[in-house]
Amino acid sequence: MLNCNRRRIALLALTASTLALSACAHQGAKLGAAPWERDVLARKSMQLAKEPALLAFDDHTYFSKEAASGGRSFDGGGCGCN
Amino acid sequence: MQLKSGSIAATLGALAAGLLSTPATAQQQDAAQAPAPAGNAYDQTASEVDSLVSDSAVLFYQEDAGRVRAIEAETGLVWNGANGLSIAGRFTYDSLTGATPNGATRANRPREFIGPAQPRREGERDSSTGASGAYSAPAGTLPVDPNFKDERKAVDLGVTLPPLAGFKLSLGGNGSWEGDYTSWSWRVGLAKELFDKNTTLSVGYNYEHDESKPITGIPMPLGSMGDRPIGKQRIKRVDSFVAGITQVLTPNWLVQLNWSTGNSRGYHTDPYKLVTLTDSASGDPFFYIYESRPRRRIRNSVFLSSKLALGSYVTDASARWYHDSWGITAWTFGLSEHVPVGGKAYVEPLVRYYHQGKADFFRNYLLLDEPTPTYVSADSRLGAFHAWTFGVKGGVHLNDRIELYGSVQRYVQNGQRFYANAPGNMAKVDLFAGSRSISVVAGLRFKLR
Repeated sequence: MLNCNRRRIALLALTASTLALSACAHQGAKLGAAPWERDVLARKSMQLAKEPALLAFDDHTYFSKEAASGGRSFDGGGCGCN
Repeated sequence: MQLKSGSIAATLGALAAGLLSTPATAQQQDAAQAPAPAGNAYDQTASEVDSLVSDSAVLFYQEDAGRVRAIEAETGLVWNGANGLSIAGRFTYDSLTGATPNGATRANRPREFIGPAQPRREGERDSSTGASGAYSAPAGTLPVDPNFKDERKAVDLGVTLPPLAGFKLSLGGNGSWEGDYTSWSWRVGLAKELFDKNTTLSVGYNYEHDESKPITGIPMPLGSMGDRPIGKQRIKRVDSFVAGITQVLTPNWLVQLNWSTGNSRGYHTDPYKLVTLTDSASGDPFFYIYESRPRRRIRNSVFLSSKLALGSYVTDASARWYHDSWGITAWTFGLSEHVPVGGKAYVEPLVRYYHQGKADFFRNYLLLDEPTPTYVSADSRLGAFHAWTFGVKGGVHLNDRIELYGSVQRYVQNGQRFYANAPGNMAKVDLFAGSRSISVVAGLRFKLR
């Protein structure tokens, strides 16, 4: 029960802090990037999934060897390896 | 994966397009502060507007001690139109061979294993896929089915439509065929950019339909090893939902938060896995029964990812919390550093840590004189363990059209091996069946247009 409560508190804190950052980005104008400041964000090296084939191979391997899946995307597997 | 990746790529592509369409005055105003021209190929914009790109890669995967070996090849084509329309197709082929643990424990004497009893046609071989025929495990070794062999072919198609009123709609489908397993799925996703494109909200739904057709037939859950199968195939259906927010924090810092949930109904049991019945006095294996898993599984995960650029270096950090209705809780942490090399290449050292608790119904073995539980599995993937991955990824632009990329990774699972409270000889037996592997990937991306 204690562990469960800690987990919930950690998740709430994580979600709240992310939403707070998001809110600040819109109100304070200090967070976020202006249209002319987006050169770095547009780089290949800044893509969240810059190598989709490598990520797909990784996900397939982990899906077949571990119980957890999903998070980055859907949690299905599409194969009989687990 | 494709859906989310596509939406992110499209988002950043739009960000780049936004940069290009910035009013001249703003660009002039910013010119004084603009960074020096990009020194590395991976500092260039990711925008792929009006392009046709082919992407092919091969994975070689080998587990230690002669266990599973996989060779997986995939080739794909992505077309990005000028108006935001994007169409992607991918074909994957897997070949699996080697030996895979059957769930039984090690023992200090040799053991024999047999598949479910069934009439065989004259001249028919014992097995062509999965665990089926008779085989033995020498004393002290982890029982593995040496006949593990399969092939898989998979196709994936995805379309992202041009934005409409600021909304981006993505659709996709996937089919996968193995000798003993068939899976197909379809998906739909919607993304919306807000607040000067600093925030992207996205939602997605995926439906998956799986058919398990073991070559040996469906064994009776909790039935004795060698009993007649009770059917030829079973079905599983999975509904998955993902909701996410991607937020630009600063001009060089991006974070993503996703929540995903899945409701899986139907046949989850591994038809090839056994559970050891152990004599509670001697601690020796007495016999084996087939495992049994619940017909429903609900998964939840929260994923947080961050990308921070310092010069041409990019730090990628991620964390994931996972919990499911089988009682498994897992944490995953990943860290990598994109390091530019010269003007055309990069390397990216990476480390990943994973920890999971055991499923409520996981047991290394059952005792002969205890009541048999409704659900039980000795599959090490449902047991408690932790795993480390160490590796390096990299890429190099040979010219404007051709890029090579790849990775080398070492994956090691560890868990509790000995249990002092186990009966008799079982206390002296290594009960951990986790895997260790090395994987190597080589890929080629070619810009056709």
